[in-house]
Amino acid sequence: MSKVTIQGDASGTGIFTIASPNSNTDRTLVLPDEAGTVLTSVSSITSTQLTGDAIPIGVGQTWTDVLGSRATGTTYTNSTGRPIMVAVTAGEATYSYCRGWVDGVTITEQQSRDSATSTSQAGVIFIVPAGSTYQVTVSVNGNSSDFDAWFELR
Amino acid sequence: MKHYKDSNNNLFGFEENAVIPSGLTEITMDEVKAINNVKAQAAYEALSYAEKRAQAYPSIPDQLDTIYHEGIDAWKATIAAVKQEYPKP
Repeated sequence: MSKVTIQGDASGTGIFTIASPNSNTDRTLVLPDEAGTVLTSVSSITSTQLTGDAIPIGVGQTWTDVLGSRATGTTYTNSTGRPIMVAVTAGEATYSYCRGWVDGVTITEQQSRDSATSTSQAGVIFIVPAGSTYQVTVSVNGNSSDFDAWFELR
Repeated sequence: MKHYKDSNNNLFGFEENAVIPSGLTEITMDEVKAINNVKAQAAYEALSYAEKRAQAYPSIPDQLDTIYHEGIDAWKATIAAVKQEYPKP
């Protein structure tokens, strides 16, 4: 049988108390089979210590150029297991239009009118939850679907 | 990434190891672009004359530039050309 020891500090004088809540139900707290310290509400946690769903978007992910493998008007599925961010820029033209969809719902859209001397372009950026579908619709001069950039933080 | 279409030419993209739903046909990126161009052209043709004109007019800065450098008559000619190209039915 393993043993449990509660050990006080030889120099300290404070009294540490293990207290129970007001309950009539028996409970057992099982200690983890590893060394460490107790996590409290003021403990510092770095993003690299988080796992699973607790990992925030951007940690361990990089902006990836997927221009060559994406097409406008096409439904893609975020199968990475984590949220991703999508950033698309429509082709440069007199008139360009860009719309982002997640799970069939328009999340964001922008249209741009260029002058002969400017280079503004329509573009959208949005987050796609894990498992969701997403799509970007691009219209350039009303009759084409070119886009200049498609990056994903994944 | 692989691309697919259904019987209505709706387009889908799946990762290499994904389970592909039934009823989809794999297509090349060139076929995807061709389908999208046909859709874009059809969407453009469906626009009203006013919507086509709105897209074809020069931007406001360009119109002001034309007025400043070439005068009102030149500006009118620019606008008239768009109206003529997309006549009111």
